[in-house]
Amino acid sequence: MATTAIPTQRFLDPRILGRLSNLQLVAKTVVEGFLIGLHRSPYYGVSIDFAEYRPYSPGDDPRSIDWNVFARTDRYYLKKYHGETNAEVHIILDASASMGYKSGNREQGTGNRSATLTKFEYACYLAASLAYLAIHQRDAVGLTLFDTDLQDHVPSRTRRGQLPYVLHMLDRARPGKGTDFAGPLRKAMQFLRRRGIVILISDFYEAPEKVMHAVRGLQFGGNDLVLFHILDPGELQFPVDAPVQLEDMETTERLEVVPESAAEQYRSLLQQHIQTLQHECRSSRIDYTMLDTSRPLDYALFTFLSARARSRM
Amino acid sequence: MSFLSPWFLLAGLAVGIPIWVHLVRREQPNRVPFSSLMFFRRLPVKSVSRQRLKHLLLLAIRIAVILLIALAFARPYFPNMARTFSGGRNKHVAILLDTSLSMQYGDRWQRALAAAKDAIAGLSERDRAQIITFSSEYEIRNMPSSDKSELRAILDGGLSPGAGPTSFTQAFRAVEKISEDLNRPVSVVLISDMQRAGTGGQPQRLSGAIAEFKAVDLAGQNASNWTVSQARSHRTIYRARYPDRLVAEVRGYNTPTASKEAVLTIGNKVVQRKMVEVPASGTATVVFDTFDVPLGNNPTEISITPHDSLPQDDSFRFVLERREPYRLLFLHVPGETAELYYFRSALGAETDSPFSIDARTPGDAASLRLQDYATVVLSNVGDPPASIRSALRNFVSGGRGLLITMGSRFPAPALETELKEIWPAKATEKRLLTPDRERMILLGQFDKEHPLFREFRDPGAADSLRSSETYAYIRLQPQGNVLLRYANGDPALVEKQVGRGRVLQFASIFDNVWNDFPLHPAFIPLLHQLVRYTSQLSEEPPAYTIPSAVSLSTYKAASQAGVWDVIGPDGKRQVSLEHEARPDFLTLRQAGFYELRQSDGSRLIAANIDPRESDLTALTAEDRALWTANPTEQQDAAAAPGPDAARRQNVWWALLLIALLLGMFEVYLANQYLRPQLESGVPLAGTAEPVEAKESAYGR
Repeated sequence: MATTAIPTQRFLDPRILGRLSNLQLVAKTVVEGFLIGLHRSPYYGVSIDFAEYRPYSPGDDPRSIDWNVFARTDRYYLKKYHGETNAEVHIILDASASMGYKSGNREQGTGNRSATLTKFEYACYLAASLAYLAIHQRDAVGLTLFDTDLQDHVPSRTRRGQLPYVLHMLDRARPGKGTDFAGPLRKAMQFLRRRGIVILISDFYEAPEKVMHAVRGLQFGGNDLVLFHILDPGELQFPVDAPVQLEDMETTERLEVVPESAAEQYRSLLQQHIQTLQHECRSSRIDYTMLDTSRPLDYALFTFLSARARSRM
Repeated sequence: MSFLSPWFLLAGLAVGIPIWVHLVRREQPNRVPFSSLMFFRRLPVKSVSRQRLKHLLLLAIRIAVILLIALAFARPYFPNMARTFSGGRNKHVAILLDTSLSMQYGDRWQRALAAAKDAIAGLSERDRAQIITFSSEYEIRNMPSSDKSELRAILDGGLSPGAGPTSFTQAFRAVEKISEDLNRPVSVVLISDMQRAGTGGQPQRLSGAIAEFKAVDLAGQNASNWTVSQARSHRTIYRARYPDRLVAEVRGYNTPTASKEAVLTIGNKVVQRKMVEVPASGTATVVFDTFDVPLGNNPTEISITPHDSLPQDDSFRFVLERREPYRLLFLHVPGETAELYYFRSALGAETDSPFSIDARTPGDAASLRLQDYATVVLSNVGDPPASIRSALRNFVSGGRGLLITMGSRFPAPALETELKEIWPAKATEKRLLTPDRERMILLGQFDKEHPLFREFRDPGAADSLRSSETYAYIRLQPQGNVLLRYANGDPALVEKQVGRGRVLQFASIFDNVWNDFPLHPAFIPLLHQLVRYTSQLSEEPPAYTIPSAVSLSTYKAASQAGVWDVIGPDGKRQVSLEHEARPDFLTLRQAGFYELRQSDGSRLIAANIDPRESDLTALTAEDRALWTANPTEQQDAAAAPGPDAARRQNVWWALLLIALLLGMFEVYLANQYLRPQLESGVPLAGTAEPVEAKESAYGR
């Protein structure tokens, strides 16, 4: 599956989304704009109305057998309808304190991008958009929030009212304490009843090996796992040329940083961290997408749809 | 360049502050919340980058500002400029020459003159000098002069050590005065034997602006000296035989044990000789007794032989005056002699009583010449005969005394007589304290500061005075000063000054009938004081110590004639022309006998050298170091006075101005440096802002 350039003029800048106070409106704006664009995109033919024929197996409901096919081929095939073939999408959102970070404002035109959304806001928009998109594809959508423990959980449902329920939970959510992947994700696994798509949105401030150890558990049961790595432009670039005293938002630890010596090494360590995650995910057949909060959400939706498509193969 | 307050230069160490700030770049980094320090924790701590100085121009300005402020507060000045301003390196030299008595010891004076001449020879052509002699006083001998021959002439022109004691205070005061008058620093050359006694026991310091100080020490090693330090003697005696023992003290300073012969000379006649063994650096006493004193003022001297290197203090001079006792006219009612008895007994109790009592009745008084008496006592005589009233009033007004005692015969209420104006109090009534009434009354309050009660200032003595019981007295209405009261507040003794004389009135009588006072021990001293006080007997000391100022009024009152001339020990008149008509005080500066010439004869005053001057022990180096203690301050002060100096010290003002200008530039420069930092620091100004801004579509 190839990803190609997408006309950017229709992409919604996250800063514009930040001005929309209604989360549902945000999700609708993102997804519908995205869907309109899809008809002109290289992903043409990827339809949400996808039907499936599957060879009959003992134990299957005989009412599902497509007799027309049997008449033509003399074989039993089960005809699967849309509703029956929809996936279960479960979004796991990191609500740790570090997700509440956003870099400062900056006058436009100075060359540097900076976010007006916190990572958590961006992640919420992303989760909302994904949920909106999934619901429109008649997928079951669930949501789990965690920091050092599970904060909240909405089981996956396809029923009406599930989307508002999910959005409401996202709306109420606030960045909490520290981050722990092992414990909360182990608990989240217990809520995954069916094979589906698990979307993990986090800034992954943890050692890659620990992150991978935790997230691999989500693959059990044949789940397709998608990791969205959310980072702020300020974290990626660290555009500082004066000494600053940084305060860890999770531990409140303070550290005075002289940018001349530290900035470059920091950027190097961060890129190394990202590459390690990327590599580990690739080797584990996990979709990994690094998003900075200044990028449109469409990129994330493409990633999702790719995973969605793969999960139907 | 020198500094008035060099300690402020320490503030220059504050330059370390900006260096430190620039080094560690303590621009007080902004505290920025950051998502995670996970990666920063892995970074090695590098302080090297902190040690790189930045903004060197800003740093240089800050250091300069601090240094300039420290320099300004240190008050720099330029001594060399002072000399330039004042027209070269000319000095003003004060040559302090010690002329105290101790300079007569051995060859000290000759060496002092030589040292003074050396100091004069050391003057440059532009230097000016003054010679100041000092002992107990200072005397500036000349106006500032650069003429060396003139200065030498002063030394050779009759300067000699006197009899005064050394006082470095006087010497330093002279320097201070010269310095103030000249308004410039003075170079001091102190030529002295550096007697320890010259400091008066107090650490002293040269004050005033001292440019240079040099001390020429003339004290040799082991300067030993014996002296007759004092003699305890009466000044006036009333019998031919000296009534007491005459005790003199012979003292040695830094001396070995020695035998000395002590000689008592009265007038020009040697009266007694005594050998005395004076211990090493110790004291011995010599006692002279049983010798006769001729009538009149006798110059008396106790001297020791053989003489030592300082013979001027080998004798102690004092005056022994023998005269007839003062006559006291006791007028009493015929047949009443009880009070007379107690008067005679009390006044006769003194070995050498200055009084002789002439008891008469009022009727006999008319034939008497009152001027022959010192005091008249009216014993229970209520109204003196008319024949003596006028004489009595003149007698008192002329400076003599009248003592009135009041008994049963005293008229109460008082009669109107022509003497009432000299009466200290008016008798109002007789009070007889019978057994069925108060029975008796005690004496109460008295004026403790009055010379009459000098002997009763101690609480015990006062109690003995108050313990006498009075059974009858006459209540007085005082018109003079009440000196003593009864316990009930009634006046007991009243004083009145009449002309130059004194009148005392006692509300009772010393007869052991109206009171038992004559039987109390307090009676004798009180009666002696009463008579002495009314008689106005002068109490002159037998000798004075140089320097002393003697009030001549004492001698005027005693002789009823003024002092019209004073002849000093050197035979010269001591009273200046301007005071010739009425000399009031005489300052004793020479050792020996001063003769006070009066119209009715002459009196003598003995003057001795200060016994402390006999101690030739020199000051220690530590004591002398105190004179010029804190030389920095003195040198600073040396350059300070004068308008030129003030102008030179204005450097601080310019320094502060420069510092201010640099400070303003620093503010501008710092803003220039800081502004881009503020802008670049924004991107990381992260917030933990969650999603409060987000309006909930569902929550409301």
